[in-house]
Amino acid sequence: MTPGGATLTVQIPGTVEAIRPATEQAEAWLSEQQVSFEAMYLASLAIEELVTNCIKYGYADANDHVVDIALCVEDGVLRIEVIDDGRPFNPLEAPAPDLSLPIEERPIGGLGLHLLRELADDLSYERRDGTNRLRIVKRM
Amino acid sequence: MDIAVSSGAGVPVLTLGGRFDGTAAAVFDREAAALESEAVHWAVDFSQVTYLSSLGIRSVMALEQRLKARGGGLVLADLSPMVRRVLHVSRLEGFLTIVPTLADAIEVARTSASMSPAAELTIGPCRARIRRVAGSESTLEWWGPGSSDSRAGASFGISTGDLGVAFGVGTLGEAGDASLPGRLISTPQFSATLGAESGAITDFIVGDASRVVPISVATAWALSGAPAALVELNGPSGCALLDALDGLYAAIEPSAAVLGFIVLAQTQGHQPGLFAVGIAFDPETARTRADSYRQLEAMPDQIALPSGRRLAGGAITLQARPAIDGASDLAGALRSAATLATLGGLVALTECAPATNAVVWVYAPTEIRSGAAKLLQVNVEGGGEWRPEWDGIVRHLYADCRSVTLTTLPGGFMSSTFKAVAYDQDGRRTLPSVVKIGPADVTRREVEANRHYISRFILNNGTTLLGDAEHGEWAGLRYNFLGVNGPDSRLTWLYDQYLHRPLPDVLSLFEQLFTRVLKPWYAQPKWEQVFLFRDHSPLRLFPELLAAAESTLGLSAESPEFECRELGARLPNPFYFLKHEYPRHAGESRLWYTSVCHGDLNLRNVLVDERDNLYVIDFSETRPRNVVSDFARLEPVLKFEMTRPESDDDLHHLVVFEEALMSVTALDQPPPFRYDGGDPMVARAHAGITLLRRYADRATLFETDLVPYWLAMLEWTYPAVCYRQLTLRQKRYAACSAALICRSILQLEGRA
Repeated sequence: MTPGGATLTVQIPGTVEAIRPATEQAEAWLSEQQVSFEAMYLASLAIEELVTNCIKYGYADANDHVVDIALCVEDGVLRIEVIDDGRPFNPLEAPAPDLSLPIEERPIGGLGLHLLRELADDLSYERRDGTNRLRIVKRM
Repeated sequence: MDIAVSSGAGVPVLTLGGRFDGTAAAVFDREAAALESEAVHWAVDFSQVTYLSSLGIRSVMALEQRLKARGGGLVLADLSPMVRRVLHVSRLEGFLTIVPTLADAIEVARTSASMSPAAELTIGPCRARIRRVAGSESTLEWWGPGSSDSRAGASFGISTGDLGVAFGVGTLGEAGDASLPGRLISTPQFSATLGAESGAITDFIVGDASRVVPISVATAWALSGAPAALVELNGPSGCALLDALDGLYAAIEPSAAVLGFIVLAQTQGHQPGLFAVGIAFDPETARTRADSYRQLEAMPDQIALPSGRRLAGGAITLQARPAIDGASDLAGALRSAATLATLGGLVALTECAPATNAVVWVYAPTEIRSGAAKLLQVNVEGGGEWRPEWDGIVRHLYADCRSVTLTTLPGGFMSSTFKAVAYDQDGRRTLPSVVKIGPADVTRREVEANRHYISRFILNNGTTLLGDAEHGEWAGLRYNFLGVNGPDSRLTWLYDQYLHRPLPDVLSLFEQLFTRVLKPWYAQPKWEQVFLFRDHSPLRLFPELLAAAESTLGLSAESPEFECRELGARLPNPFYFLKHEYPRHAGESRLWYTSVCHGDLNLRNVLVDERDNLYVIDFSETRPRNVVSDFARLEPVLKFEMTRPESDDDLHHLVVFEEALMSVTALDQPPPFRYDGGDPMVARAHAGITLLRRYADRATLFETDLVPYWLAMLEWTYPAVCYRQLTLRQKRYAACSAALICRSILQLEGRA
């Protein structure tokens, strides 16, 4: 994260129950930063979709896990970083869903990542120190 | 998420509220499963849904599939722009029935539910399953020379939405374009024309563009309303279209003078699909009907059917096999079947390949009327800017009316505002309303702000957003003012009241505005961290501000001092302060009260009726921020915009007045009135400002810090240099004021 802009960092347990409070906290903070509704939406979507993905597929053991979320607003740009310690997963390489299929035939997870890819201006992925790090950029 | 289950006209209605995320999706699934209903057509009210994730989408689609399997489906109403965008990006719009309002949704669901069981019939080599729709009505509209006195001429520039499903002669784009009119087929989802010259290829407009690009119609026949029957045609060896339509006419309504057909078919031959629209009539019966039925004789390229009836229309080949199974919603079927990738070419009805499977919507028009007569008449009075594309926006906003007269309300920075008097289809005058037209992005922000901050809080002023419409880069809003004095309401800006009413009346309007209308915002402050310098920077809305200060007042942002000859004093240069001090303090936060604030409250976005009811509009900047923002924003309006320095002497008196205003040490301390000039508006400003500061003090409870108020005031003091309507002296006055505020901030923050 670039220093200088306003930042919010949140660490949440990798559980379904943690998602809602985290997205609400992020939206409340972003609303103070006066970001666009679309950026606010994207932040919630990123948190929900990525944490859900982690819970469903990411953890190879039954231990407690955490997900780190950082938001940074600077110069009309929202940067979102989501770091999890799940098994390696690069969302950028996930196959795009076949959008001509009826929804019930589409693979689970694909739609959320598709929305992220479509709504974000830039996505980058890095596997480092046993963690998945996804960075999302949204210009406002 | 809240889910309420109710019933409207026998249709189950799910009203959703809040975040439709994974947690809510689980609740939704449970509620939907528990809802015991015979009905298979449900309406879902999305108006209060603020967020929709992929898990929410899956739940909606799962329910849609379940209902579809039972022959029904969901009708979604009132989606926010963001939710719509998410469904669009997910390519799901085509799989869902989406309508503007809950009332529409209930109507669509009710109509779908009232279809009778299918009757089977054989027409030549084909089987037809006919389901009649009870209580449906439709109209045949014709467009052509002489169909309207006010809009007479060679062609009509209208939108695909106004036209409905139609065939005829016309061109895409505004009339007057170079292209010659050719054969035309149009639906609300797409339009196509084929020029008359040999070798011409079909031109299309599809999807969103079809709402924006007008069509010039020379003549056209259009179907509107609801179909009387839905037919599934099936013939493995192929059904000839003309024979099938002739057979359906005899089977469904043999005594009708005219029937309309819309066909979506899977066909034999090298093009796998077909869309067709046709009007068939019985010349003998038509002659016994009203004069308007003579128009049928004028339809181009008529085909004689075996029964002696006549048929006119046109078709478009499709390069992909359209989905036919269970199609009942025409708009949805067209959205998925007719895209830029699938639309082939325009062909005559006689050239259509035989259909193996088809769905036919059969219309039994009860009336033939001129299409132009239904077009909303838009009259604009009072001068001001008017663009031709705004006609379309107003027609969309007042689709329920026959005529609307707009009177310009002067003022408005980004948008134009009009008072609207509209008459419904029966000529009854409706409640007065206000129309605002501006750039699409500003308007979209206002719609979102309305959902988040206004409709749920500010009810007591009775302002309701009735609708919004987009046309290219422009968008418009229609506000209604409820519960007031009916059609005779006379609306004026608070600006006019401030200028012309006795002072006690004006103060009482201020009191009503802040302590009653907007109280639900300011009376619920939150105590939290705010970044005042960043939040109150005027450069966000006025990025050219520093350049304007230099060019109009000759004040450079590079010199730290400002020579205030009006006071004979050296003051901090406010523009230096803005350029250099604001960024340095952008990261500083303090604990302070925040509340929802209007963001640009001024005398020209509050309307007053003759009974002193107030109506606040223009919410594109509304959001939670420093609780005193709105009070502090009005102060510069009263000082710089409502007074008139005519000479340097006047200016001097005003700056002295300003210095006294800035001499207080607390907001609840009435500022001394020091003014020797002759402008009566200055005493008025003083009284108003005293009141505003008292309210601001009340909103901040026990706080004594003046800096948040001064910074909020500066945010709207600086931009005066950019206002075109202000004189140089007024701008100079604002600059002196800004310098005095900066001095006070530096003193209070211990930096001077």
